[in-house]
Amino acid sequence: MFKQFKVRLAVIFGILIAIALSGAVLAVLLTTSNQVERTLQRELTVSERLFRELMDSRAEQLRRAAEVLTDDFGFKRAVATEDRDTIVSALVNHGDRIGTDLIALQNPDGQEIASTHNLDLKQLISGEQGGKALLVSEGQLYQVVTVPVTAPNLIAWATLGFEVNNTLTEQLKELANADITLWLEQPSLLLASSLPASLREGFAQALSSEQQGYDGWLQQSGLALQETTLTTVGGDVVHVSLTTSRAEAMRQFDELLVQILLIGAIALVITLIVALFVAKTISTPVALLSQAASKLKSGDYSPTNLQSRKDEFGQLADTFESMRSAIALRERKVRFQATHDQLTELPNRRELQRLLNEKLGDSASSGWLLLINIRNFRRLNDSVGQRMGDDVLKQLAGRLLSGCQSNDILARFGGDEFALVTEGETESRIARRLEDLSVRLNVPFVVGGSQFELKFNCGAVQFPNHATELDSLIRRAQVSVKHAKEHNQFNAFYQEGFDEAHLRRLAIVEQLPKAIARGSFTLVAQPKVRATDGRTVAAEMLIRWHDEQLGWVGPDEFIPLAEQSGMITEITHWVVEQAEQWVNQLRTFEDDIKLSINISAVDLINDKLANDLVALSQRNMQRYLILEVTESALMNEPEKSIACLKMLSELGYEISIDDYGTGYSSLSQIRRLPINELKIDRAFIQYLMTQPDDQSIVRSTIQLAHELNLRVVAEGVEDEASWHWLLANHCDVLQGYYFSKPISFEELHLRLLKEKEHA
Amino acid sequence: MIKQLALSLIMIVFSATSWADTQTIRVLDKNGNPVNNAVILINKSVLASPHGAQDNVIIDQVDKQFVPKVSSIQEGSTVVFPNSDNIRHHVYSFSKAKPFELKLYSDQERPKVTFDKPGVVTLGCNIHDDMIGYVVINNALQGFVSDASGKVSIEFNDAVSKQSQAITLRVWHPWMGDDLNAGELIELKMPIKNSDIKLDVAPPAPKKEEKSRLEKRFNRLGA
Repeated sequence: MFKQFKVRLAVIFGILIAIALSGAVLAVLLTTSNQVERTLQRELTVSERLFRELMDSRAEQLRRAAEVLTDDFGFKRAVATEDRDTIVSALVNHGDRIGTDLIALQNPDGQEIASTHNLDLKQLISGEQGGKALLVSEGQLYQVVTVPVTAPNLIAWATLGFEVNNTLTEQLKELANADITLWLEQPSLLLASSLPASLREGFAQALSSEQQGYDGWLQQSGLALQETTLTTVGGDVVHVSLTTSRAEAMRQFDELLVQILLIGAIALVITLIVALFVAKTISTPVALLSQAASKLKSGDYSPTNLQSRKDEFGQLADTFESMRSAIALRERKVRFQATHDQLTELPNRRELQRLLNEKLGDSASSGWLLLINIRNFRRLNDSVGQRMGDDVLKQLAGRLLSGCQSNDILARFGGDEFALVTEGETESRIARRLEDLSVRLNVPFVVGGSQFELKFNCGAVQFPNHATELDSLIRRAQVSVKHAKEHNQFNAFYQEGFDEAHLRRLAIVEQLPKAIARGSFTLVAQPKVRATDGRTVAAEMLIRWHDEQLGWVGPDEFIPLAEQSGMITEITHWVVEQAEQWVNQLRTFEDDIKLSINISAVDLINDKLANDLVALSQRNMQRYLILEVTESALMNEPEKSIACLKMLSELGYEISIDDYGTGYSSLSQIRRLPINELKIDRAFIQYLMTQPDDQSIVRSTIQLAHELNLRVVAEGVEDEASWHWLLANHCDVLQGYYFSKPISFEELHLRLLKEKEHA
Repeated sequence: MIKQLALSLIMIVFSATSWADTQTIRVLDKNGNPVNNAVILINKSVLASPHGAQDNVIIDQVDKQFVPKVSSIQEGSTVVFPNSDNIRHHVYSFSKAKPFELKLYSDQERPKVTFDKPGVVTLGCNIHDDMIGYVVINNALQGFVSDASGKVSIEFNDAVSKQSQAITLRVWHPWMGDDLNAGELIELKMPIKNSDIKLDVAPPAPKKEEKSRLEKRFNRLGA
């Protein structure tokens, strides 16, 4: 509820003040109510005394007035006439003069001469009250004085009485400062009261009511009481009740209370203001810290604007500030690590992609992406260890950097690949820079005292000319690298079609696994003929692939891809199966025919082919098959490959070295192989008749092969002159378009049949 | 006493009808109400039959009041106070024209007082404060007292009536105090066309003339 600190503080202060105030108010209330009671009692006592004094002084006044009357000579003369009517008229006249309410005249013996009321007159002159007394007649209270009438002897007693009525009590109230009520004890009767009419009635009822009694009524009416009694001439007891309103007395204290509450309210308001102010001095720096913290949270590590204070908040702010700078430093480090390669401290692939994306997004920007790939770096790593490899990479990064311009971006794009982005260069300048780079990189790397010569391939792509999308830009750069690698060049600029060829390769890799099942592969065979008479002695089985989407796909295209993907195993298996079928059909009429099967390097280190051929040999198929292997196929894992060949040779299969002369072929190595045939690559045969160099190579190769007891096959024989030259030089078998293009099984079958007929 | 009064009245009527010009004047207060007990003072020379001093002017005491309340007499007249009440009265005067005292007397005594100086005499009773009466004493002038309807009849002599001259009157009332000179002078043109005399006086606020409580109390007990 009270989430905010300042509100909470204000509430706490407020509650404290309220508690203190309530205590004060309670104390005041207790004290005042006691005080009021005491004050009331004291005032009423004073009022009672005043009442008595007022009654006494009034009696004195009455007595004097009565004496003035009785001293009047005319009055005396009237009394002396003993004529009652005259006396009465004189009494009335004089009584009216002083406003008396009761007159009685009696002779010295006490007998009535004239009286306004029925009175027991003898009591009046008993003199015990000194001529001043109260009497009750007809339910009315009178204050009476009895004075002698002398002429000069006592001739009569004159008694004058004055009503003690509501009007009088009201006058007395003004002086005594308390309500005065006079009531007769027996019978209970209200005689006079200064109380307001309603209270007066209530008082009268309370007197006549036996149960409630007037004490209860007083309590109920909120009146404080002081009571005294007076006795009348006739012995009646008259009670004098002096009352005053408690509420009236409380009123001044109510004012006090209101004042206290007012002061309390003001104190409360001031407290709240002070509390809010105090809270603000606390909450403002806290809020600033909080803001700074959320700024930090949102990743903004810029310096904060926290005020420098000398208090705890200042310390907190300082601590916060140093924490912020530490975090900012760490953040920078983390960001650097996230975007840079740890080894070379160059931007990493992701960072490069981000930067490239920025440049591609900026239509005004144009430039080049160069990818520099280290050839066979893995092999280096494997042979000298990663630490040295890392050393090489660092040196390489240094060399690349030294060739960079100020706003070039050099990044480590992959384990053995660097990327260089440079802007606003022409192709010729890039070519010159690449030349320069090539020179730099040709210098051997010195690591751990040894020198290493490394080969590099570099692809160059221009943006946005060659690509506007990041992915295609990078892919085209990689394709260019690959192109360079395939063509054994240091660099290759991207050209139209590079990427399409690449994409076709991807499609081939994708379709390859399905080709066998779909029956997309077909086999043809190119006859291999005896040089002496041109008779077909064997045929090289060649695979053809027609794909619905890709069209004709040459073996040059898909065989390397099949080797990379491992699919070659399946393909070779299929070829071997087909070969067996062919053999089984052909040998029904020609038992000497042999079929050559091209064996991939992958097949040699894979048990699958070996198993197949072992199985075939059990069906005595070895004498019909020649396994053609390229020299380079033996380079990957020479030991295992050679072991495999030996095993197959021992089974009785003939082994042929294909494409001889293109690789690092050496007859010394061939000598170690269990081979039966050497196929001179078509590159030496094609232009045999015009190239004397080729002739000498072929001649010497044939001679050497024969020395090693190898059968020599010439590929790519395309004219009769070549045939004659090869025959003259003792080449054993010929293969080429001059004799036959690759033909279907049916054609081969027919050809063999025809040859048999002519024989 | 009643016979004497009747006789004197008859005498006035007779004289008016025989050879005089009788005019009736009405006295009004400032509100236009008839004024009782106003005294019109008029020079004897214009009167048909002016009075001389009289011996038996009667001021009675009836029900604790002087009757008549205002009397006009000529200098040297004697007034009789007969007391028709059954209680005694103690009539007195402190007026300069005639201070006197008639100590408590009953209906038996009929005391007399001769007024031998002109002026106003205020009468009181020592034991009945409400009893007040006035006696206006003249010599050269003669006074006429207005009745309850404010009317006064005056017989003027022929000379006055025929010459049609203006005469001057002085009108006095007890409300004006006990100096006759305080009375208003009125010019009256003869013959009188408009008989109303309007005085610049108004009656004082009437006292509550309820009967004394004490008297009622005594009366309660019976006589």
